[in-house]
Amino acid sequence: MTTSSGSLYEQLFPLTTVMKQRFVDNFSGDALDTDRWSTNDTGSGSTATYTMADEVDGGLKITSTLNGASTLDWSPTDSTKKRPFNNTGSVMIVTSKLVQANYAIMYCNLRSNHYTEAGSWIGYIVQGVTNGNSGDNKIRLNSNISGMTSVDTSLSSSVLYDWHTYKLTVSSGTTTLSVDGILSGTGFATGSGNPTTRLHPALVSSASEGATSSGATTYFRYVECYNT
Amino acid sequence: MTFPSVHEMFDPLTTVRKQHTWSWFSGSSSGSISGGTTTGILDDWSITNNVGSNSYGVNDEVDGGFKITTGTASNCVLTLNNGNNATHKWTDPTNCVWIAVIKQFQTTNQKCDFGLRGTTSTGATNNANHFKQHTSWSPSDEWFYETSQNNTAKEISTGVTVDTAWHTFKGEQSSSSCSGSIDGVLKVTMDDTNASGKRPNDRQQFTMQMQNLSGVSRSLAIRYVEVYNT
Repeated sequence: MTTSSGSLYEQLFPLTTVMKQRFVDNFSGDALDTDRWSTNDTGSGSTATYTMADEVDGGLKITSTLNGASTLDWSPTDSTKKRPFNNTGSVMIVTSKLVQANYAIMYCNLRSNHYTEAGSWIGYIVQGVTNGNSGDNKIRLNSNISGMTSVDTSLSSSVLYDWHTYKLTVSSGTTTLSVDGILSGTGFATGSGNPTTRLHPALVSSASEGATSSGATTYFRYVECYNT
Repeated sequence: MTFPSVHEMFDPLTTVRKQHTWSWFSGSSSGSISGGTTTGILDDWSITNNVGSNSYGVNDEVDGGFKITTGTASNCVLTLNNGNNATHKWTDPTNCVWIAVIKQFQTTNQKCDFGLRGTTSTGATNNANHFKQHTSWSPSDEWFYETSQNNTAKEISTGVTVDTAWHTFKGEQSSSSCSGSIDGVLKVTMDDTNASGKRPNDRQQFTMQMQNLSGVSRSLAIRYVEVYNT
């Protein structure tokens, strides 16, 4: 195998192209990088935890509060959020896993808002059995964009709790979700519309649809976002 | 092309990898500083407060990167760096490269530089291999490429007018020359003909420094940097 270049930059672009915002987190080490990430929790009944899993391929393990949502994002407060990603041209790639449990949900999105604010967001949601919710046992493209409803992939519920690589591609007027590199059919969903303003990444472990015995548990071992 | 490892993106496993780092300057970090050095602000970068009271943080804009901003008092200065003026310098002065994506926010009444340095001080830029704008120099509105050794420096204008767009800057060092490129175009080569004794001969670190020269706040932003020995 030959090498392509001495620099990572030139593996991605020629130097005549000015690189846009991009970041990668491998979620490896002894603790979450809190210079980059902020944590925000709702609910009560237990304390949310964000730990590096002591497991093969574990990555970051988030256990939510007993009946709330625990969020990793770039918004320490509503006035200090940092949103460098383009609402009409950006990509988010995440390798993640939801642990099977009733009322457990994992969702990852690009969003404009602090978790307590109204805003505009789009992402994927992996939802176990909640309360007969229409999203139960599905992996879906999910958003609150006006006029865009959730779009289901046709992935079987049997793969809901496996590790997958999710790719969200936001462009002007259209957003797509690809699971494990699938570009059509099973594991692929397309929605019309895009968020209304610039975005930051959010990774969420949620038990907010109902109580679990110990909060919802999710794992994240890779995230990459970039503007296109 | 796919690679089985990041190592093999750059070198076969038969080649012992040299020091190589990159940073994305993305996240939620921000703060202010009025003395000393604050370490670990983002991806293990530090901010040194040279003069006055200043601020820094990830920029809340599309493609915003990380911005350092001087205070409004005249001659406020701050420096992004690797944490300590005396240590944390690992570049090989005869075999290294740096690449950075940088943006100015103003073009007047300022002195700023970014690239490799042997010091984070505001005075002599020992062991520099960096781009610089100093609005007291002529031409005041152009990027200069500067190298130095033992506090003796050589500056050559790149002929490129400073603007407020993002650009990709690259500096290279070999045993016989240093060179600077902007947006993939070679602008200046410093060899023995024009910079004898004025090229780095000791280890450096990447720094980015901004000084206001008129009592008006000045900012500089970075959204990517890569430094490696060759």
